[in-house]
Amino acid sequence: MEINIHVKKFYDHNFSDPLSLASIILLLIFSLSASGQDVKPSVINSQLIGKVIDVATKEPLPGVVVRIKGTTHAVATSADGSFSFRTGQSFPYTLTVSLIGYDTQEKRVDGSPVTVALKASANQLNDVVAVGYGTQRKADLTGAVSKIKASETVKLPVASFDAQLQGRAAGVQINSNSGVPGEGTFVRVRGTTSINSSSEPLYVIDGVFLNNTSLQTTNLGGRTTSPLADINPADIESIEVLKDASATAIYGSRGANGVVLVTTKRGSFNARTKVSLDVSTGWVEADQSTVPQLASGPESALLANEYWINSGIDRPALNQTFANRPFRPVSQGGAGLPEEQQTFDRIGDILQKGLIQDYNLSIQGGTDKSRFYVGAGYTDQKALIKVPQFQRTSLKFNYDHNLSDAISFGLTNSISKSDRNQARTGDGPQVNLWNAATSAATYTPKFAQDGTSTGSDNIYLLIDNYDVNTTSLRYVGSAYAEAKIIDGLKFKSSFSLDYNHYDESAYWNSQTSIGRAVGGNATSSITQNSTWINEQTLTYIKNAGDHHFNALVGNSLQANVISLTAAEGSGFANDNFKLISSASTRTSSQNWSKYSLASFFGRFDYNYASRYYIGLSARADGSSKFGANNKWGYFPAVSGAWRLKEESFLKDAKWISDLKLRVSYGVTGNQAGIDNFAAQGLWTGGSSYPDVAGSPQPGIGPIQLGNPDLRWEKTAQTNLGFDLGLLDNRISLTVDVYNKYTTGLLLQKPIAASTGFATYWANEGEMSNRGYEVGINTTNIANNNFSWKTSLNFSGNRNRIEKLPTQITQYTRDWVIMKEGYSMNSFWLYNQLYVDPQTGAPVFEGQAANGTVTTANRQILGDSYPKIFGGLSNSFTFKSFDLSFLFTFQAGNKSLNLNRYFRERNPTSGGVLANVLNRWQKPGDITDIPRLTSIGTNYTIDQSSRYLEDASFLRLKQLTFGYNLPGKFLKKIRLSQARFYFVGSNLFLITKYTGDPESSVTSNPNAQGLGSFGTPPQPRSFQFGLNITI
Amino acid sequence: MKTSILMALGLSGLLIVGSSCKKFIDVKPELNISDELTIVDGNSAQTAVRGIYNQLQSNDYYGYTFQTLGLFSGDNVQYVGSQTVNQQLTNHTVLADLAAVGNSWAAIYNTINRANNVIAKVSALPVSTTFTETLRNQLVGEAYFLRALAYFDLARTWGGVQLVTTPTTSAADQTLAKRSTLAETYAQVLRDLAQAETLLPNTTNRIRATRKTAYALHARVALYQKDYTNAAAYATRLIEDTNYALTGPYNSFFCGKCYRNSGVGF
Repeated sequence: MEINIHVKKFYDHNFSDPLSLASIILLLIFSLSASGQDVKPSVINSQLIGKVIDVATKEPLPGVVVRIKGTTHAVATSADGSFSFRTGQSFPYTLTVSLIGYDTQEKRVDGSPVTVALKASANQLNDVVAVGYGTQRKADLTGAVSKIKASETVKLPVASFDAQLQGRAAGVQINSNSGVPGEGTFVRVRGTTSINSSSEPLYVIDGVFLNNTSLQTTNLGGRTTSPLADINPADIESIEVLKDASATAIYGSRGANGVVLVTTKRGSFNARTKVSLDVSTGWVEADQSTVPQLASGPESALLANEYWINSGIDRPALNQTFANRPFRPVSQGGAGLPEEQQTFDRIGDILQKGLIQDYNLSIQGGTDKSRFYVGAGYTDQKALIKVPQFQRTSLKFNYDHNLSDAISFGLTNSISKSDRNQARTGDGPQVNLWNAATSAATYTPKFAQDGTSTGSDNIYLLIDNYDVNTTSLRYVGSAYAEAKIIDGLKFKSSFSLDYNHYDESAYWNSQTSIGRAVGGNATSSITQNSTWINEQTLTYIKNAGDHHFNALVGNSLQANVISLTAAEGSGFANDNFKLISSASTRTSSQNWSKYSLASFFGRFDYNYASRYYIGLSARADGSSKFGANNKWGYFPAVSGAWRLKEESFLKDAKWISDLKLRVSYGVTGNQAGIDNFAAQGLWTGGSSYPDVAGSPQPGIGPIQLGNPDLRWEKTAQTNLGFDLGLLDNRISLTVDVYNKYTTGLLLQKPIAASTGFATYWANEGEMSNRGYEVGINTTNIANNNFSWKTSLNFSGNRNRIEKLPTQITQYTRDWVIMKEGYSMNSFWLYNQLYVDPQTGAPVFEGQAANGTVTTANRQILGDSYPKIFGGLSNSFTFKSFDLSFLFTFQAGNKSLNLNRYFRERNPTSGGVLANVLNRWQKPGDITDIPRLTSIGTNYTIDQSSRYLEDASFLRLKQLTFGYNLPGKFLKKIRLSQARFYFVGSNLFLITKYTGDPESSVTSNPNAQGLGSFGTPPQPRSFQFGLNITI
Repeated sequence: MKTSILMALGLSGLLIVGSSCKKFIDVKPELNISDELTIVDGNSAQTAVRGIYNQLQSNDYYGYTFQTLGLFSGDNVQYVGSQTVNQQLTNHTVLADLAAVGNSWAAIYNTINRANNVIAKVSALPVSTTFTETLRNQLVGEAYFLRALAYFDLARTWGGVQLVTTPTTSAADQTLAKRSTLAETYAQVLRDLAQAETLLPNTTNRIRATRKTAYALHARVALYQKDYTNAAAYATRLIEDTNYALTGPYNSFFCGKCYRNSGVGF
């Protein structure tokens, strides 16, 4: 009765459009729910006690649902695996015994007690998969979703969990741009959909939208830190990647780039308290094959002389001759003959074996009413080069409590502190640690004779004086309450918060090039980013015979505020004064920005006899970011599936254990990465001018042209796929093909300057991504002593800019271009065909007769995206031993080796790569390295294709070897589990690329594939660990 | 019972959301402010006028770049920096994509747009005891003067240009602006100067435009048009003003605080 009254009130109210849609759906659910009442047995006809164990380990299984078939009477097993029934049913009857991760068993019982042995499930069909605002059985999925169990990945020594997913999920391309721990990772789910907006997936952790935009303001040479590194991977239970529109449309204007759902660990009801400690330590080091190989001192000097003399021959006016070559005998005023030069190995001096340590303690358990998980972690990772270091301390507390059968509430909390010692890598010569090591000539002594530094930044001084630190405090948490209104109908309300306090400081003392010029320089900035979300959902699940309904409606309100306070000072009395208050010149600045999002969403799934499936979902998003005319966006999706296995013609086919066809279509949006006020006409306050001679007075002026029509980018996606299981699902295959088409790209559109503006934000341009994904999981051998499982996935994606009014170039020297008809991250170069064997001059495609080239000769020569990528993993267990390894691979991707560009140029200034020793020297030489000279096009074409390399690779990403102490011994020392393990990462690499093929000089997503330069390669790591559970 | 309370709470939550959604997703910026809130009273009018001067002295206009177009092309100043593209100016082989040309053009039109905003919006503001008629005239007069100067700079650098005299508030606003002839551009300069000369106060201020500053520019414009009678007439008005005098020696022209120098008109 109560409910009906509310429904009436609800209906009487006057609603805005999205809300009334929701209310109609609500009403439908209320009216559907008028049936079904439990009939409790009143007469006890039998009493049954029993126990459920794991068939392999013989360990008791808690939390198993035991149901008397044909009734609604069910109980759960307690911590010792036992259960009991007092029932009106008479023996014999059949029990249905089910537990997630185990094959459901039916057992006929005719007397008490009884023991049921469950077998761990080989097929993943009963796996529960997290989807937007809920969960689904894998068998019931109509969309494309990849699930990764964290236990498989967690031990890779990368700070952020996204980097651990490489090679684990089909369609998800992951590249670690640099070997500095805690730095950002390049992640694409089914390709890049945007130019100016972000193409990173949306991250949702336990329902909380996680900020994935770095708060870094300190210049790191174009690199950024990863906000995901604040999350301790050890607390993660599983990760789902939602890929197609039917899965992501419920995330509306933020779903176009895929959604990564992270579920953290929770305790289990009725479970014994389990304490688990995991300790590991080891080191990281450089894989020498990815480190630049500089020519030795004598070799470099030889090349310098040759360059000098050849230039003089080509242009006598330079007056560069053999007689005045730089490396001539000291007696003649030179630096000594080449063979007299020493070699100073700066790269060797900056590399180190970096210590890594990881400690995790977790306590989990539960009673019949509540369950909890507490996790504490500490990670300390040094890098393979000196200075950078990442440390994270984290605490996790998840708690759920059932107040009654109908009402429950819970908390999810994660608090962490990440400390980083940072160093500038990436681009730019100033205080750049890696560049300073590679750019100095190997014959240049480490220090000048008088002990002062040589060059602008001496690496030894840099290593000793680097003082750039960041502390990130992060809280991610939520609280929820859930109420069962009637059978199948649940209402849930939650509040969530993602708060990040990001405190940066940098001090450049007088020993560094920044500090030297200004008498010391210090910066300090505090950025605070907070997102709060309030969310209500109503779910209704109804099974009526062969008809299965699952419906959800909800709304959410979300606001994000980011604020910055920064100060800078320069001119310090001496290097001991480090705080800005002591500086003679001080400046400060402040910034504040906010956006809000109001949303209504719903999903409706129906299946008939687990045979025919239909799914509908929709979201309406109202965003403060967009223009007055387009505040609200609507994102619908529809999907269907047909489980052929359930049809009569396949039901009896023994070898086919599952076959399902899936199809989906939907529209999702993207609004990330653009300025919160991009749609508004804005005036700046920073236009001061004096009224009379004297100090400036405040002034204002227009800074941005508004666009009331500005809206989200829109991506329509079609997905076709099938799931096939063979031989009792020992072989399972998932194949998907998709077509994503994005319209209304958010671009800063150029406008005639006579308007007083250069550009304005507009929706212009289109982009497509087409691709396929294949995932194969096989259980090759499974018996009590030995098991072998294989998992292979590979995917291909083709990105194409379908419409772009004007081409856009990226990065300095316009190496990368965005142009209609081509992929994003395409390289725009002069194609060096060969080096003329007669003259040693390079020959560029289309060059004029005199060898000169013009911009018209530049061509697009490939892009940085792989044509195919994926991973292959194998895991073995033999008695108490386990072994697993993961290979990851990419093929067809190009990378422009900027390190070669900078270090294969002028040997008279700075380091030169050993590769230049292969230069053309005399007629008849066949090589691609031109004759050394400063004249002509030999070394003056910045955009030569000579530096473009095939960056395909195959990596042994991870190798794990473990040993479990035998059960008998464990009992003696009162442990339930103890495992010793070794984890190695990046143990070997096969690539033609000269450097780390995944490296990128910048975090700019539109200038990827500019490799090696300034960027430490990914480390090779060795870790040894122990995991014990009490 | 508990269930229904929770339920009611949730539903009322939904309702509150529905009614205040519009407000919720309307967020006002604080670093830069919406263009609806800019010129609303005397005080904001003054800040907007200062904004025009600020743009006039910006790096791409009188601050550096615009000046280099003339200076590098002449033989008084030689460029010795590393950006070899500036040789295009020295060698008189300027290509369309020379950044200095486009940047100056954009900076000048930015100045014009700021002036247009002041002319359109300040003229319409009501006067009050603090925002007097005189002050309003002065502010609008300054905007006219600055626009005249900007079009004069465009005319002597590019010839006839698009004449934009209304503020740009949306991308569609100025699409119809066509290039005018050189004579039309100069006519616009003179029209603006005439307005400035009526509105501006007859005072001396070496960093802000006054009626005398307008006369000085008028003399210069007339000179460019070979209207020597007017050039002499307007120049005479300043020559005869005791606040202005020729100063020497020559190097005193390169001074740190030129506004103290009686040789400086503006």
